[in-house]
Formats: sequence, C-alpha cells, structure tokens
Amino acid sequence: MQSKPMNSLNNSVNSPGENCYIAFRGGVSALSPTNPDASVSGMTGKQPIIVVIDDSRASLTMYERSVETLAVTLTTFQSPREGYDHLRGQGADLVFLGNLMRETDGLTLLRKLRDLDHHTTTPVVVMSTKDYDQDRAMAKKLGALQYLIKPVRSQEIREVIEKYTGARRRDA
Amino acid sequence: MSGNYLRFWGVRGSYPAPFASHMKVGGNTPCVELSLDGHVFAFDAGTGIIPFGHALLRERKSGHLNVFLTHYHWDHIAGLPFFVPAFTPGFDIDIYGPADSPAELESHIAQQMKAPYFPVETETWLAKVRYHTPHHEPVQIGPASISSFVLHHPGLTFGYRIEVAGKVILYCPDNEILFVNQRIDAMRGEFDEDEHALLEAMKEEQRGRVTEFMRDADILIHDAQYTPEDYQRKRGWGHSCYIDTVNSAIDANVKHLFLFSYDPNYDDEQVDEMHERARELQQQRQAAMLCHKTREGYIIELDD
Repeated sequence: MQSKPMNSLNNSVNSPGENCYIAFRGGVSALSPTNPDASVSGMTGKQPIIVVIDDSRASLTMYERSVETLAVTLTTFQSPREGYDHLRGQGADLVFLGNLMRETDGLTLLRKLRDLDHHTTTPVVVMSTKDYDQDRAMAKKLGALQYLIKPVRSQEIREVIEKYTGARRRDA
Repeated sequence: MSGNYLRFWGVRGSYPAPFASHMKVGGNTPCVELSLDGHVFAFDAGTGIIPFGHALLRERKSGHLNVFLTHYHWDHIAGLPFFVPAFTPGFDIDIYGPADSPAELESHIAQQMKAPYFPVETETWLAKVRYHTPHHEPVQIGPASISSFVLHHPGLTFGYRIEVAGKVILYCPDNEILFVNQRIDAMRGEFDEDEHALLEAMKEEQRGRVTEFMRDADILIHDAQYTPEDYQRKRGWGHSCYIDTVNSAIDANVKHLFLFSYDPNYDDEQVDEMHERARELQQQRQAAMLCHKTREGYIIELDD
C-alpha cells in the first residue's frame, strides 16, 4: 500500500498531503482508510472512499492533488498485489485502476476484482497510458465506467469523482 | 554452427509480406528460435514458425519444444495451424503465454482453429501439448531462466527476459515506447502551470521505465516498426518508432540491439535505410551499443 502522506504533513503547511489529511479527518475521530465507516457527508451520508491502484508514483501524486478540495477518503496503492489484497477485505465507492503496471495489467486486476462478491458492481474507472480500442472494449465489458488516457488534468479527476460518488467540495 | 544460438524465422510485424521486394529481409511474421544445450525454444508462433517446424522435422522425428507467446494477435499465432510438429506424435510441446489460466490460454489458441476459419481443430494435434501461464515468476528450463513482463501494446502483451550463463536476452516484438511522453508534449497547453512539474515527472518516470527493463541487456530484440514520419500517423497503434527504440536502448546501455517487427509495407531498401539511419544515430551519440538489422535466417551464435 502506498502510505498516506500523513508523515509528511509537517514538511509543508500547504502540501497536498496535508490537505488530504484534513479531508480524511472530516471532523470525526479516528477516520482512516481502514475505518471507512467513520466517514461523513457525500451523497450517501458517508464520505466517499476512493481507492487508487497504480504503480506510477507521478500518477498517484496527481490523484492526491486532485482530491485536495474534496471531502473523500483516498487510499492509494503502488503495488497492484497490495491494492487487491486491500480490496478483498474492503469496499470502495470508486476505484481507479492503472492499466500498464509492472506486476500486471489493470484489466487482469479488474477481472479478479469482479470475481469478488462485494466488488461485482463497484464503480471502476481505468486510467492508462494505453490508448487502444482493445483495452477500452475489455474495460467496458468488465463494467468499467470510463477509460481515461493519461495524462489527465486534476480538474477532470475531480469531476469523475464527483460524478460517480457525489463527493462534495470541502469548502462548499 | 554451435549448439547455442538464436535464429530469426520471421521478423515482420502485423501481417505476412511475401513480396519480391521484401525477400532479403523476409516476409514471415515473428518467430525466433533459441537453442541452448539441446533445449529448443520458439518465441512467438507467427508464420515464421512454419519453416521452423519443417526444419525441426528434418532434424528429428520427436522431441521437446517450448513455445513462448507474447500475445494472441494473428501475426504472433498464425503459424500454429501449420506447425507440423504439433500434428506429429512423439513431439512434446509446452506453450506459455499471458492468460488468467492455462485453460484460457488453450482457448485463445484453439479459437483460431475452428470452423469456418480453419478445417481442423487443436484436437487433431497429435503432439502432447501443455499450457502454462508464467505470470512473471521465472521459469527454469535447462540453463535458461525465463520471466515475463508487461509491454505497451493492445491487450495483455508480454515481453520475455531470458537469463542464461550470466547473459540477458530480451524479446519485445510489439511495444510502443514513450507513447505517453509524446501525448504529454501535445497536451501541455491544456494543463495548469502548477501541473507542468508533475507532467515532467511523468515523462521522466516513463523514460525510466523503458530503460529499466532494457537495462544492460546483452541482446535486445525490439519493436522497430515505423519510421518517424509513419509513426506520426500511426501513434497509438501499439508499435515503436525505430529512432525511439535506438535512443532508449543506448540510454539503457544495451550491448546489441536487433531491430525487429518491421512494417510489412517497407521493402528491403527501406529497411536498409532505417538500419543505416540507426547506425548513424548510434555513431552520433558515440554509443558502444551495436545496432543490427534482423532478417529471416539470421543467426546469432551465443558461444562467442
């Protein structure tokens, strides 16, 4: 699992990590990615849980920056294996998957995910460097909501999260 | 010829090119034979595996063969329906390829041998055939350790890393390198100023990934399908511009680069021009790497 930027919070008051951290706390004690029930707001009355699995560090940073202003719980994994292990035991309101990863491809991971009873309909967005119809078609077949090609602007990531989870702006 | 060698049976990408203007390079699609201490390997089963099969039968009436498939696009499996050792009792064939399970791999291969596309099915194969999905765990066969990694190409596509006697051979026939970097350059204006540093980090990360898997390879057999001019029109088709391939291999300190998977539209003269330009680039960069043109029948002795 890609560690949350908690430990780096003291480095910069305005770091993306700190902003994320504030969003995680959401005014509730002990709110963490492993404690998804302790969440607030969002369309369902809970703070949406976003899980990202992508072995690109730069992409994960883009996600972290994107959610700075959103009241969501973001959990990122640079290891597909660790990400899958996490999702075996946890639900999510939205999952972003990288496609081309060293260990595996995101569509193989999505197929495995769909085999889990609690992720048969989990909203999934694939974000990839691969701009190929074959991959798009397979993602669609596996129920992915969107297939985005990198690089993707922070604003676009925010819009996707808002669209599929009803996440609110922190300052709204 | 020693017992340890690589031999190219097919070097064309996309589709066979049996044209008179292409015959010095050859028109068959990918198949590379590796022979190590009596162990026989085929990397991909494009139409090049057909003459390879005939050659095997001339040498022996039975035996064991390992076939490593990178993916299931036709140009990489089209030779299997005509691979005579598979129809010959006494042959023992292990087939490796990307799939969720051996059954899925078998299905991928069997589907191209069904009516109305082909008159006989894989059930008519008389060789003993087994299917394996390597999933990145190294496979030890004789003196070789073979592992897979994921390439930038439509669908799940593997490259193979063969380690033998302290040497590294990489087989990457279909791989579009640096696609995202060119996309980033084209889209830069759509991003905010404060996102530009992150875009640069992404580009650097991509360059790092490309050179990471190639790093210090003794032999790299790599996609070099397009000229820069054609790549501009065919960006996103899953293949590399050969200039990107040469530059990346130099950056990764590759010792011998073998240009591979040529566009079937390129005749012998055009392939020669590509090779010449690649060598000029290598000299301009004062690189120690040697850049080679592949052609059918080309043999790399591995004992030297």
